[in-house]
Amino acid sequence: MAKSAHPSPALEEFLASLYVDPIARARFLASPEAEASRAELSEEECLKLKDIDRTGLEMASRSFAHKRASTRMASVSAGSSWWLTIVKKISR
Amino acid sequence: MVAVADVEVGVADVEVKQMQDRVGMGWRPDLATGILSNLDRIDVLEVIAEDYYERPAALRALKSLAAQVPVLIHGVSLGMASVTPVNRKLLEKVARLMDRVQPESWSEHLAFVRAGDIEIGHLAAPPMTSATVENTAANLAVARAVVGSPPLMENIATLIYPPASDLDEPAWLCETIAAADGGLLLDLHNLFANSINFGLDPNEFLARLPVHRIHGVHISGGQWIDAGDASERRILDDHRHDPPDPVYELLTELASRCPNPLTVILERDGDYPPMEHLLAQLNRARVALKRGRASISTRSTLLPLCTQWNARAVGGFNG
Repeated sequence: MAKSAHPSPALEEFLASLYVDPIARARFLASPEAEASRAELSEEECLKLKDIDRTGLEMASRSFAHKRASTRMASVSAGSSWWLTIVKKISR
Repeated sequence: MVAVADVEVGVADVEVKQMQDRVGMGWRPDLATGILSNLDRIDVLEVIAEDYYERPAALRALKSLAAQVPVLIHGVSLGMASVTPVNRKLLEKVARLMDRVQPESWSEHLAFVRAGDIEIGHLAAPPMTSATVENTAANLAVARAVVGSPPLMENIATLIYPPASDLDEPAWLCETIAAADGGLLLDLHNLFANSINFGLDPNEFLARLPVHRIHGVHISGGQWIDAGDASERRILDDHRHDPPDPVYELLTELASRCPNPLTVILERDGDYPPMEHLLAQLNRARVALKRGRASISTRSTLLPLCTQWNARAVGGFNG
């Protein structure tokens, strides 16, 4: 049952799950109001999410996934901080 | 301030010096050699705060760098534009970094980056509502108290129209910055990309912002991406391309109206060109600033240019 409260952390959590979880996203796109209601969002939020920017949702989710993968790669290579040596040399 | 001897836009040097506009770039390890070899041509560097947490060697190097050139700290992980209170432990990390490096200032994004136990991994646009205005202002007040100085807040690029929003982006930015009594780090490519992606006029967007609260500027580039079937395309702010022409035009427009000295940072996060190419972009930003400072009459020339860009939304992107 949807709550009637104004925007809450639940909305952000719901959006975050749509951005990172392809299964949650597919479920939502198949039935936006039902999924939003199941997440206990307010009636107003459920209504607003019915008109979500679907193209943008797919594009943004892909972009976020790419960014997460890039960040993992960056943290793997963080050990090779050759540039630290350069800064130290130049600052002497 | 770097001399712009090769720039001829008919502006008295004294006028530019009076404004103390500065142009620099984002520090990236891949650019280290080029940056350090050209510090006389770079007014200021912006470093990513998260690159220096729990990394004492990197922090020592940053302190050396800060002794040679003005440094700004830029955070990406706080998630200030959220109905959830900002994480104090993360703020304390910022405070320690500020204390160690003594940068000129720091900045963060008007975004949420996590919710519950979900890390999105990047900057997500918040629902643009009165609730997020109030909560963002509250988060900024906490940040100011913990760190000891307020961050400049940056508008973000988004590929999705912010879900569950009541306000459009210019209105939300105005209300948020006013509620927080804060300063704006205006990313002109983000403004441009969001405008094109969601049918706003970039010049009108800029005109609606409180210019007296703008102190910093980011410029960068992006590329068109499609939805998979080429039915719809949007601009992705990927920082892997040169700033497109309208971004420089917007910079001129901003400089023609903003009463504050502006610090402009060129952001580049991959597909790095030769350093001379990046330095030429810094000079192009200096020219754009000078033109704007010289006269407000340039304002009227901008509308046709950005209108052309709207028309090209179904054409090509030369980012």
